[in-house]
Amino acid sequence: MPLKEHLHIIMECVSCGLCQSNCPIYKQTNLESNSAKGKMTILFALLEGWLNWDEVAERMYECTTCKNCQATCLSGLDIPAVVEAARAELVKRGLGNEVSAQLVKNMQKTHNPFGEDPKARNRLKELAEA
Amino acid sequence: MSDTIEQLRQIVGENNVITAKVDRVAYSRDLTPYFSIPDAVVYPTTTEQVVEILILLNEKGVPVTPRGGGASFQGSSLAVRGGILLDLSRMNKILEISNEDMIAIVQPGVRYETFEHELERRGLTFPHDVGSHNAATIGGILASDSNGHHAYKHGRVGAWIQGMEVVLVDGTILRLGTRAPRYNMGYNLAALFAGSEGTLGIITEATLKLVPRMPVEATIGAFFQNLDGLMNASLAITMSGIDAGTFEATDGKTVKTISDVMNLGFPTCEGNFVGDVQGFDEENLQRKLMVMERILKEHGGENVVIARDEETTNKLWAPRLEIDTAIVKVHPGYREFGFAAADPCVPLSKQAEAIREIGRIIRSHGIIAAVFCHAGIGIIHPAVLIDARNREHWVAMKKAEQEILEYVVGIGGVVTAEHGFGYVKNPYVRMAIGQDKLELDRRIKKLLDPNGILNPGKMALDTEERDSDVGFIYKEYVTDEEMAE
Repeated sequence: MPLKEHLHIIMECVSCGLCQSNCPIYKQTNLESNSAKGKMTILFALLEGWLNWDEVAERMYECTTCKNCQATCLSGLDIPAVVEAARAELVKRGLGNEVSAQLVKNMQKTHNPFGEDPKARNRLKELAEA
Repeated sequence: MSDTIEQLRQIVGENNVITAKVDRVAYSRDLTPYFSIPDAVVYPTTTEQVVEILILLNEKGVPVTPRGGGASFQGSSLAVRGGILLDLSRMNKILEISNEDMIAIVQPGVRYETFEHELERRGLTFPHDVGSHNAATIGGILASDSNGHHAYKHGRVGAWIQGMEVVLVDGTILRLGTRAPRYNMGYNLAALFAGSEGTLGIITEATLKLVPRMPVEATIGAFFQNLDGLMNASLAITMSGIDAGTFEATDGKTVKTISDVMNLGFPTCEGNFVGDVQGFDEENLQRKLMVMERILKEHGGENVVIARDEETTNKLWAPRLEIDTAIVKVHPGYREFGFAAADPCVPLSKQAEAIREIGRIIRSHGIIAAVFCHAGIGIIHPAVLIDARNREHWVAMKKAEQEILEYVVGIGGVVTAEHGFGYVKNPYVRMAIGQDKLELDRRIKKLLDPNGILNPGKMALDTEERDSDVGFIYKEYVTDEEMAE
């Protein structure tokens, strides 16, 4: 779903900050732009044209989509869905993150996200059976 | 400004100064309609750094706005004049908890519930559970002299401050109070700084009084066909001598909205009552509950339920806590905004009347209202829920705000009793406190902050306007100037 269709969620965020207490990223950095509250402000500013896509990219990828913010939100807002919609838009605009790009390459080449030789799995199987 | 930012980096380190626009934007709002981007965000980690920061910014005349959790309902922690936003969230250490002295010494960035979890392990509590829960920091709680959910029993936070370390704008480190429980030595300056919203100094440490955590607790709820009966019941419980923790009242229309949307099956009523009570053992608790139940029923309370388990407790609290969830299900995109009439206080005898009248005022302007009351302490929380893209809703909110505050003052109430003035209430400060107190407040401000750099634009200390020096999140917002036309 395009980011604009999530605008109602972005608008429903009252900026109370309850989401911060459970956010694994915010707890490490104490940076509001890492919290769900901050992300909703950033995305609103983006949709209003106050920020550019390349400015927001890094912050959108700094989210585990663990849904802890949704669990603590008084309105139960589906923040991870908004973040994922923003990421989809970023990829379309050529602003995908390097880690994801490498994962895709790995899957295409080795059929696993880690880029490991598939034969290694067979060796593990043989060892286990032995 | 770039020289100043470089000097700030030298004080707190490269990683504790933020200048990227995307990060500054995240600090540009709170629960109000305003949008104000600071020039930089600075995170001190020690008192000494705060001293150096204030000396530098005072010398250069750069505004500095302290911020805790940023959960303000009235724009207290918005950098409305730009400058430096001083985020104290990295000063977040619990320095000491002493069972022997019944105190805790904490830094301002400690989150309320994080602190409570530590106290719980020691059988203690700091019984000041603010509505913003873990969004709130101790520094923010003290600087706004807030009430908690249990303010009925424990009062506002000021009484719980045993000591405080405050950095003044000239770099002086002021130490108020000690580990000793009582302090009566000249003016009570801790009380002055509590509630000063960061306009007089920066709170860098607090010594807080603690009490034992009561081992057993219950919640009790009831519905009333008449709000007068509800308030009379609340008063009768008080007069019985039972030390209940809290009484909350919610108006019937709000209860119906929540019940319908969430399918909770609540009866039609004019008001819902929910309260809690603690005991030092089960027998003590049961005696209190028995008396409370009897009093509620005697005053017309129906469907009286006592909850001991989490599920039933949550259901009893739903009328008070679930309005935001309910509204977005019915009206996607609607939300509550911090406005000037969010926390007035009325005489106890006027509580029922005020809930009715304030609800009527808001709804008469065609917008959705939810009205709550901390029964027993007279604080009314009207919430307006609006479509921020609808200009007429903003006009309605502002008309309702003025009418509510005039009504409240007219019945002997006060404009604000919980959130403080902040930025949103600037136009109402003179009406609230009068010319003489406003002038005295301004003289105190001038004495402690002669250059006016500390959280400027707040509490009507240098302007009685709002809307004039900030941006707005929504272009549909209607300014005071437009309202006057």
